[in-house]
Amino acid sequence: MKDKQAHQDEVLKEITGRDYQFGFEADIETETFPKGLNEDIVRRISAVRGEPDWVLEFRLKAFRAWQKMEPPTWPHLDLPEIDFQDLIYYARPKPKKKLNSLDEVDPEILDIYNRLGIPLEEQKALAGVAVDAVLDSVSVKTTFQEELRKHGIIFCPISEAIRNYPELVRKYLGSVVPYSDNFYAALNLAVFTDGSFVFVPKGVRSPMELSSYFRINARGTGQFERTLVIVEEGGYVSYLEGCTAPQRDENQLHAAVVELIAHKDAEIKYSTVQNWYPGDKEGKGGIFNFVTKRGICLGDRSKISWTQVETGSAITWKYPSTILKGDDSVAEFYSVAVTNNRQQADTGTKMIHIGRNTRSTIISKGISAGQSQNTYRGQVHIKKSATGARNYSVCDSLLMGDQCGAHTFPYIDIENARSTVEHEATTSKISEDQLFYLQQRGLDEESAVNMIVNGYAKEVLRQLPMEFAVEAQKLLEISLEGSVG
Amino acid sequence: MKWTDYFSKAPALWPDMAGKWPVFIQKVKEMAADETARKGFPHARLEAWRKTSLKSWQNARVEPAGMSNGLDNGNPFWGDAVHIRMVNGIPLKPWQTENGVQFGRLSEAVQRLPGLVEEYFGRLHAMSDDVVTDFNTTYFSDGLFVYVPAGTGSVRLEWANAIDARKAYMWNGRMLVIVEPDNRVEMTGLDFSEGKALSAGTRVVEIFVKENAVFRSYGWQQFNDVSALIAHQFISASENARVDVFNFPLNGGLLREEIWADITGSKARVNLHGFYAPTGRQQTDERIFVAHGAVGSYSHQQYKGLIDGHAKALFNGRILVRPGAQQTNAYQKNDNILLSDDARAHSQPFLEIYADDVSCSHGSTTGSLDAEALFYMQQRGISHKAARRLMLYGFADEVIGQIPDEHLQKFTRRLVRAKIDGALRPGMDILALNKEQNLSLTE
Amino acid sequence: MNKQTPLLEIKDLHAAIGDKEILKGVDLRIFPGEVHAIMGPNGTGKSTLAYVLAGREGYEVTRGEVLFNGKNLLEMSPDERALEGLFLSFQYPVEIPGVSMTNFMKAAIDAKRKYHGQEPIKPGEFLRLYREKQDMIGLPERIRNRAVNEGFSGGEKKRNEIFQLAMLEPLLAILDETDSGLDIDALRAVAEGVNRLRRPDNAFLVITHYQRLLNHIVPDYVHIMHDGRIVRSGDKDLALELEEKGYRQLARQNA
Repeated sequence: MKDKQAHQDEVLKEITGRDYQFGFEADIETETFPKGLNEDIVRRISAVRGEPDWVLEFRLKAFRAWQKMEPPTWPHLDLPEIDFQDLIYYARPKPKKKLNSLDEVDPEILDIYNRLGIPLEEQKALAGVAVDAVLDSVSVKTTFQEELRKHGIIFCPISEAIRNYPELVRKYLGSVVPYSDNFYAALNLAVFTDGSFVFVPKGVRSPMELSSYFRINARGTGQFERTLVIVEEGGYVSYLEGCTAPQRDENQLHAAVVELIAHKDAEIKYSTVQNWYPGDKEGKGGIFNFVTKRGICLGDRSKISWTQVETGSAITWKYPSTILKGDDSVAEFYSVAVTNNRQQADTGTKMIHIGRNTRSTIISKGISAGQSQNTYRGQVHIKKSATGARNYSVCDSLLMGDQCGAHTFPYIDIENARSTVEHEATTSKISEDQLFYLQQRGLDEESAVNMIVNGYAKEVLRQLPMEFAVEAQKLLEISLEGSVG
Repeated sequence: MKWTDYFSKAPALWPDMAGKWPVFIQKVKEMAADETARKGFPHARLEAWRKTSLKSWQNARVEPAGMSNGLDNGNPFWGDAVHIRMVNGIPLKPWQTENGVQFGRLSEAVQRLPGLVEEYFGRLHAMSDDVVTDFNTTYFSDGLFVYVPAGTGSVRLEWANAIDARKAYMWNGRMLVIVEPDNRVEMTGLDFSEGKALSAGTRVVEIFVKENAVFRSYGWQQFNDVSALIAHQFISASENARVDVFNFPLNGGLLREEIWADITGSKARVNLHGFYAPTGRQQTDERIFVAHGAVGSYSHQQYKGLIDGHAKALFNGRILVRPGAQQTNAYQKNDNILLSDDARAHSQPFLEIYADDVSCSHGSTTGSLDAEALFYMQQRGISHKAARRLMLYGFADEVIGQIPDEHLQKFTRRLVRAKIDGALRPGMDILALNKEQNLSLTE
Repeated sequence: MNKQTPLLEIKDLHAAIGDKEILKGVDLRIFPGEVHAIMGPNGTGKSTLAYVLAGREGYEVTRGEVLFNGKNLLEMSPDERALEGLFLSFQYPVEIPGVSMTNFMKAAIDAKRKYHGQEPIKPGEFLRLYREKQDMIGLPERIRNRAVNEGFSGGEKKRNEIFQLAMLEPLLAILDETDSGLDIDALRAVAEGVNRLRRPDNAFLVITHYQRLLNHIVPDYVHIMHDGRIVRSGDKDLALELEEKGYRQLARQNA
């Protein structure tokens, strides 16, 4: 075991640099389409990827619907007008040749991942992580495919899945998040370029954590990846995603869609550490992160657990949700969202209870600093059929400084008398008693604040796999850098 | 004409029903009429109306109510207080002065105290951009004006408003209440309908509670099952003012109350309480907005409900802490119990906070009666039915018990228990109940 | 030996929660004036037995019968059982917000009086009785105006159970883990209360995990429960033997 510890130290070292240290831009030759979106671009995206007709049909249907849709206005966000014709919808690193082994991956790409602290090399095996890395629009390399195949698990770029497992993709793509769901979901289906595909067959528990790293590198591009995770009866998988983007003055759009399907007795754990470039202190630049994530507990006793640590992006609009359809199914949502400077986040979850005796838990911890606005928005909907359903929600907000905002908007809709829903929330600043106590023991203010914030977020952080938890903790500290005193 | 037509045709219709108003009110009405037509009838695409159904009233043919006769039977009052009788939202007596309080019709106030009306009228209602406020402003033909001048001290006002439901009417009540500094005012308000016809009512109330003043209000609405009341109450709390509001929507097809409390002075305290128990196909909406705009202020919202039959209840509570409103303490609590398989509850406890030195929290629970507690009581020999009643009474008592006045507490408890037991009949019955039980508030 | 009819007679009682059988044939007879103790490790069905006797929902009696004072207990609703004189001191007394202790107790007393064809208790008499029992059990006065069990400490909750026992004077009181979570002083107080309530015409069934409560409430009979059955019965010395040898060994001896 070389070493989880050594690896963590590396991650720590990598990450303890100040400011947004992922904001380097790699000099890789990229191939891009012209700006703008029309049917022709949609067709070209499909063509360049050699997709079968049915995928193009999906895309065109979504594109036509999208043209008639409006971006949502209800979020508590001060959103600049986005010119969707001023974006590039496809960019990929120009392959020098076809890749057969890791050695053939563009060393500059490898260098990016090394700088990100995500080793693509086999050493990661020791940490038990299989990685699918998506650079701009194309999946660069998926490690451990073979090891996973031995267990019958498919883990590959979605483009590959479309080629190799068309039946599976066709059956499930858009089944949880249809294109008609919202403006960005429609856009995504029209132009999605890559993303991960996971399939865990009946009775198989994934022997390792699956992980993907997303990074936007090229200038003026949007990223529209699409992830599909299917776990069959009795299976289990834990999936992690991390996101970073280079530092740029302009805003970049990230409109991803994630769909999770858990069959009978299956369990999916989906963790995100989102650290897209948040823009500078004046709010210049940064990623617009408009993401639709939804899972369905399709079978009885299935379970979906979302964990997210959101520290990046200029604007976040994101509600990882679960439809609890199977009887006795379970859903969880654990979230830490940090906003600083001029960041805005409107994030939360939806729990839609349909099956009997379904249970959901929501733990949300918001932290606002600088002049940022941080909103929790969540819905708990107990449908008439959901006899015996239970939900428990806690949504706390922490304010650091008098220029920021913290908002809580729960929507609780109950249509079944034999259900129980409890929601509570608090909003406050860091306790001065706690601060003083720690300072009296010799900690400086910043360390004391970090300690308190980490304690505050602990309930969520401990849901993350260990190496992610360490990284997430450091991210919190970096994100709040300069917000005290 | 259909109720909805009064919305779409407001600019053409309003002058007929406006009465004679001074120019400043005419202007406000004219603007409101344009806004009403522009916004149109409330529809489900609006966030504020998503969970509320106006279907039964939208296309109902209604006439504007006037000063109906024959509604002044019975004595709706209990005790030693300033009494105000109203019909369809309009005081019977044009003007009175009692215990130092000047009150009467708004149309009379603009003659007698024009400066005061001009200073305060319409100053708060812009907090809401809901069309109902515009609609009411367009169509109110008169209203209640209450002025509690400086030096009045402690005073209690009781008003009773009889709604003519012998025919299908729309009525639009209006109130303007000004409480000058240091006074203590207690105001009770009883709405009840007479007759079995549908009615479509709106009310806009503006209340100014000045420095160090105390204002307590209690409301009970007791209509037939096909009547609707949409009431918007705007309250401004100045420095060190104290406001307590209790609302008990007892019976009605749709009872929708919005409270907009604007805390403009430091150390002001606002407590808002409500208990609702819709049955059958009734709907109750409690929409509570408290804006903290000053340092060191306090607010508390406590709303509880029992929902039975096919009824629907909504609580939308908002706490807004404006930038700079430091040392704000604000709390919100909503509890619902669903008593039937077809009952529905919607709870939206919102916090919107722009200052950091605050302590804000909210809680919301919805469920059925606690089966464990029922069993516990049965184990002590109490029948299931009696145990259930004890629990429902107890649930309501957590709100009723907050009423500081013992007599009002008793009166409310009787009404609420009658409603829980299914023994409360609509309309003037509220008075009969009062007499049958020999309930005197000055006992 | 006692020649009367038994107060409680349990014959071959089987009970299940859903598909899971918890009680697998319990037999027990309790006569007036007796104190029985049931001991056993967690999960052997002690509390299930208490709940089945009190008539809690969610338990299905699959076989056997229970006679209480000669009547078929299992046919009665929970409140009828209580009115017949069966009292359960809960292991985890539930909080009932909004329902005050006095309203609750008055309703319970009146229900009992009505059952026996008596008028409701007069307020003055009720208050006197309340105070008397409250002082006897050592329940703080301030609790009287609170909602049932709401905000009570663990010790207060248990003491409140015994207080209710004193108020309602049942024929059979089942004490379900009344000692759990109590310090030694509270335990002694609760036991004293119980001892004072012992009469020739009533009986107690004490369910406990530990022997220590039985130092204070001395049982006439001790039964050891294991895997849904009473595997051994004896006098109070059995509790001491159990303390010494542990459940496992005793259970093995009887297997």
